[in-house]
Amino acid sequence: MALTLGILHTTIRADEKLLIAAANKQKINTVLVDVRSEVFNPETYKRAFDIALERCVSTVKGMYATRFLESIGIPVVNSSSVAAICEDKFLTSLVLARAGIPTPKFALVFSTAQAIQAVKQLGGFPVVIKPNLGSWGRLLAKINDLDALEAVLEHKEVLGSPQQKAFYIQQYVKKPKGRDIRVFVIDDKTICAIYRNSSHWITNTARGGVATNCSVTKQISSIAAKASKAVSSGVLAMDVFETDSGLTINEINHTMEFKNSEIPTGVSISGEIIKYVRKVAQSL
Amino acid sequence: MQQLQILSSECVVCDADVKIPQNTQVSEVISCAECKTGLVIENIKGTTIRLSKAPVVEEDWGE
Repeated sequence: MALTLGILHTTIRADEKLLIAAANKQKINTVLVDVRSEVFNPETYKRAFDIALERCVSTVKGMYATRFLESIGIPVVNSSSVAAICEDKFLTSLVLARAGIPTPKFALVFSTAQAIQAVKQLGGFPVVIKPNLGSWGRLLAKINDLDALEAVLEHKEVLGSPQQKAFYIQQYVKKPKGRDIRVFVIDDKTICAIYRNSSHWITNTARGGVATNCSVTKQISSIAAKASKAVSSGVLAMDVFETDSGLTINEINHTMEFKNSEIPTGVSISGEIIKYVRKVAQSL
Repeated sequence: MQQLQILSSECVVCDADVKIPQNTQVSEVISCAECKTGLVIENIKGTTIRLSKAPVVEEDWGE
């Protein structure tokens, strides 16, 4: 019997269209599941698919949908255990550090006084303040001095949600070539990578970074495999910095966008994701 | 390749005619060519398409 895949989403982007086309090509039926239209009641939920691929643009909605489906026995790619780590930058950093994988130095604090201490521990200014939850390079702040640190933290204290009041501070890593590497990793294997070039310190393609192919070296595939295993494996996109002491993993994304990376790399990332989903479904 | 435009609807903000590409899916976000507002495809029934204003980016959106 043909496999039916539920694509959990909150909006349909070009990425989801590529996934639907890839599933059709691999003879997998797809059901589009807008999680905003669902009633996640375990007593009444009618199972319409064998496995789900979580593609929600909203992290919170995606996580609740994933946990619900897992609770009624429907596997989800990525699993909630992977998502729980990758959706939170502090948890990701903790897991990478515990596994001995190079990652920029970091600290979490709840007040300005502790932030000043943390900056000293991290080697001084500049540092980067990031929201623990969030993406696309939004609300990142490069803090060059004490005045800026106090101003940004005061704004977060007054205007932020409770989550914004947990201050994740990271050592600023200079990108000597004005680029970082986005590595696409499925089932612990690096399938391709791109350079994201930008004259701005934020290199996200969502913020104007330009994607070009990056040849996958042994160093890239090795660090990516270790990081993938550390977060429990799945479909992952890792942001990697090149430093004088080697590669270092900055962040790991669990609902990656890839539409601008298939052409420069020549790899059907959507096709590889669907192959992995089939593998997970068949292994159960 | 240029997509064939066979359907249209009305922008919920400026009332302009909005062309809907043939392979558009429910929940997809498109833009009104006149006022540039982001519009969500809420429903497609035959040739009738219901649009609504797309939500602004929220704090937890991303990858």
